[in-house]
Amino acid sequence: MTCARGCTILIVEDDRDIREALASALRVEGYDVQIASNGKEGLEKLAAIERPCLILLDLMMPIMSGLDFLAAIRQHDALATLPVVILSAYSALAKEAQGAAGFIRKPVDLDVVLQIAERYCGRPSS
Amino acid sequence: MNIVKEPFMPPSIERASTSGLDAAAVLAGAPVALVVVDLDGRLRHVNSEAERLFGLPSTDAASTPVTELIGPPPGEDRPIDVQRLEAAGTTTHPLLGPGAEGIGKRRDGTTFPIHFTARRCADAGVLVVLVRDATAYQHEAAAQRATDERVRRLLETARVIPWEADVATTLFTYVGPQAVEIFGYPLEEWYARDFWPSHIHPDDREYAVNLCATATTREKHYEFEYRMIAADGRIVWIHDIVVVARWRGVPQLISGYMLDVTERKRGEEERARLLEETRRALQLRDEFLSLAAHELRTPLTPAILRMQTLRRLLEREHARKDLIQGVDYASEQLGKLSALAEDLLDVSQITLGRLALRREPVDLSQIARAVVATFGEALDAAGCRTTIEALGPVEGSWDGARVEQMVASLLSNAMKFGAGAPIEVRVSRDARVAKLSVRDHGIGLASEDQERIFERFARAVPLTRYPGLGVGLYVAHEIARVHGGSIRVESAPGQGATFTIELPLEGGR
Repeated sequence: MTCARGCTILIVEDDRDIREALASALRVEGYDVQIASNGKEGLEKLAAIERPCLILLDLMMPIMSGLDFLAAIRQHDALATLPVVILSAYSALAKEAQGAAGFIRKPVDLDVVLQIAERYCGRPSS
Repeated sequence: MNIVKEPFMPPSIERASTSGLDAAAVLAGAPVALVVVDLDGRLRHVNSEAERLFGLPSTDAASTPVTELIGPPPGEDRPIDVQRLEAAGTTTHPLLGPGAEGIGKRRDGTTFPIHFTARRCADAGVLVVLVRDATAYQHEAAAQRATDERVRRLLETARVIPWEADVATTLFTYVGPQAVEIFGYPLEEWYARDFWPSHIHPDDREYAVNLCATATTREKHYEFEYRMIAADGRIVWIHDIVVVARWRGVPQLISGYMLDVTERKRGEEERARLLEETRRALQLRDEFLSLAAHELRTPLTPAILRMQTLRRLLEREHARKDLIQGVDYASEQLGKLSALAEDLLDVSQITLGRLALRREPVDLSQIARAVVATFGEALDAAGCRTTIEALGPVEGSWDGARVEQMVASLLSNAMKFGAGAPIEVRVSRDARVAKLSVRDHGIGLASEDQERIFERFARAVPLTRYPGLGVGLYVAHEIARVHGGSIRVESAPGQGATFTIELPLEGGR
């Protein structure tokens, strides 16, 4: 499996059902999907996996929120330029997320997610 | 009510004689009926006015027992003897003052009511009796007694306490006997200093005392309500009606009625309690609806994602058409379920007063174009060619998602009721407001339905034709309202409808 800019997408989302549904949808398209259930887990995952081409980030999560996760990776030289797309019901809240590459409104529409994935990672091909 | 007159003083014969006057002549010529009786009860002298009154010459009268001239009042047997004559000064007639009532006996056998007073002249060993014809007063006195009785009954039998108090001393000068029955304190305690304030419920004391003091200086008449504590600890609600009597502008007396309104107050309290209970039950219901809607919505998002993923897989695998159609059908139903859950959530949030706005810079023209684009396929399917007239950006500080929801609601409404005809969307602004209107050419609305359609769960058409919760316009109306804007409709049956949203440009509320 190859992608123009890598095939790994990290999903940081506390709702297990949404997280798994999104992961499944992206895997079907051929992406390598990594998951984390909060910001802290997300940071741990980033240290352990291949550099992702895209991070899909929920904002309201326990333990470590999306905004804190975003602020943490922006402090990190190697990760500062990672494209992060916010998943939120509110565009106003998403605007507070300084440095995010984009915003997907909840409830999530699959077509929009696939368009975003293709824009940042390219279309997977075997 | 009593008319108290100056007590009549019998003429003093002794003093008249010592001053050199002819006592007998004075007695005889006095303009009142005087009868002189010795201590045995026999007549000694009857003056000319008394002769006229009793119809007898003075010569005949001597030595006659006084009982032949004066009899006891009707209903009494005991004769009017010397003792009773002397005792006559100790009672008071309501109109004639001190004295006793009796019957005057004329020589011709007729009788007439009299009022008499006697005084002993010790030196002369006689009683001087002043007799007055009470005929004229009898009817009046009876009427007066009847009135007094009526007033007393009115005052003292109702569950109302009449009272009077002196402003200067703040003491009661009269308290009706009902106070005993209602409060249980002996009547005399009411006349003690500070009885009233010290028996007011502590929570009402300051209020009631201050109100009474202030209103007495300012008002002619005032009413107020407060609680008092009865002797057995009961709380008695009082409605006090007060009238202020002034002399030269200064309040002298206050009087009034204390009405026991405990039953009424209990009713009011019970009503308030039931109202609060109902309000709490409704709040609980709305909380539950809100929670239920939220929980209902949560699994729908992943379910829809799963269904969309499944469809893509089936397409990629070149699956049978009926399988793909089955998935499409399920997706559509999930979408409807999701919309219903959203409606329910919105309505419960609005009812709970929790429709919070997240304001951000929003371009109304851009939203109009985005919504029409989203509805593209559905509009085509409904045969609604849709045009947008928006000259340029119309920006304000609104909740983008909510504004989008309003526009989507109007567009879906237009599509539903104006299928097969064009729809025009227009965005404009003036100095104060941004406007977005959606015009359809559908069935239109009767004037009586035009207000109603913005109410919760209102429908202008039967349920069977257009399924759904029917809350879209209500939610849109509430979204406009919390933005400080409005939504209205202009329509006539068969003439289509134009819905217009107006949003304030200066951020609104």
